Amino acid sequence: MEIEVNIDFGTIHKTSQVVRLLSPCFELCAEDVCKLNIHLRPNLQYDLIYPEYLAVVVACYKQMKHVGVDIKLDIEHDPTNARVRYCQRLDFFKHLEYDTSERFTRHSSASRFLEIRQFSKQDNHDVFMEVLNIIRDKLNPSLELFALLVYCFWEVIDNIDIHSESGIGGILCAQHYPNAEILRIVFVDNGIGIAESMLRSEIADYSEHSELELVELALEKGVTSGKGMGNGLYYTKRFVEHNKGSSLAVLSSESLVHIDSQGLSTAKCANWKGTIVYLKIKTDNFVDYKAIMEDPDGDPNDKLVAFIDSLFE
Amino acid sequence: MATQVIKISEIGDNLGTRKMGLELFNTLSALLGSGNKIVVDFSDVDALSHSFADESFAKLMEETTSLLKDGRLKFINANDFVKTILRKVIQDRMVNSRREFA
Repeated sequence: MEIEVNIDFGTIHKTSQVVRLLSPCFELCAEDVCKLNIHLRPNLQYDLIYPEYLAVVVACYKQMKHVGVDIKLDIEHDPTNARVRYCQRLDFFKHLEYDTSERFTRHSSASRFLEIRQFSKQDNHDVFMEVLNIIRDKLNPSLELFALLVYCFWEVIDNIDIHSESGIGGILCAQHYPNAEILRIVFVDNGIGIAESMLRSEIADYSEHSELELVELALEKGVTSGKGMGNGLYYTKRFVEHNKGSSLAVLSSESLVHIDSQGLSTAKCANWKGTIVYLKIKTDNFVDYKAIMEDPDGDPNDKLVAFIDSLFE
Repeated sequence: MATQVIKISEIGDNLGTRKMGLELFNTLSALLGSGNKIVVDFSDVDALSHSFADESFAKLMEETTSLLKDGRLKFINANDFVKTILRKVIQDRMVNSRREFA
């Protein structure tokens, strides 16, 4: 089997568009051929390339390599163009094993972005500490915001580690936009996806739910495949809901769930093998983590609370 | 009864994965099983994840409740965020497993 995939970044303005273009790649088996043509020509309409677009392409490329697909890659690019230099600086070409000349001097990334990084169970801690160091040292967040970011990002990484069964581990990329006070960060895996992970649960039967319902359910309190309490993504969702200007998008298999302070929306999308979690965080808002962690339906058990409080000195 | 101080910042200042939590759980569980009193020191720890706290401290509570009622586990130097997460995670797990605190 041979397919041809054309990605023109001049026409891309949503991650789901990239997913739609790459989706046929996941049908390929060992020794199938994929002609992957990437165009990085300038475009005034969609001049910005967001890091999540690049991370998604890299993850798909690595997944095809992982299963033994013969990839014939061509990247149309002008090394003097700013968007091409940006892609080079994020190590896009390097991850795609594509030779290109860099006509600029590499400076430290630590002020604005984290290059596209692949992580595994073995090194996810080290990679993640780099992310946290960038956030702490350069974004100068409040302690409350920093702690919440640590909390949320770890939950996503842990989900990839524990649930995803991804053959390529995870792909991570982040960019800070200081003028807008926005941090964009994306986590991509090529595992079994959220719905399949829940359907394999040994503690609950989710078989009556559609795939889209399962992805939405995964963001609810206490919903788990059995390997945790099922609250990590729930509180990540509450953080985004409480932080105006932020959003969380979870794209898994053929389902997309998007949350922001306006509410939650769902949509069907082209198939992605695995899960993409994308967070856009407004970094200059006050965040009240106690309100976020409060359980709106909770019924505090006084004896239990007293017991837990007795542990602290 | 010997007192063992576990300094969490020696594991990391931002604690994350369930796997890291399991390693800490095994350490704490073994110490409690040997009759020790444990003081967990959170100084220099900024934050921790739900998964880490659940796999380590909440599961420890769930599995060794009777041992912990006589004050054999103490948390010291936890900042407000760490306290909030620990309270939340332990409460979630205990309520889920319907432990009774008479």
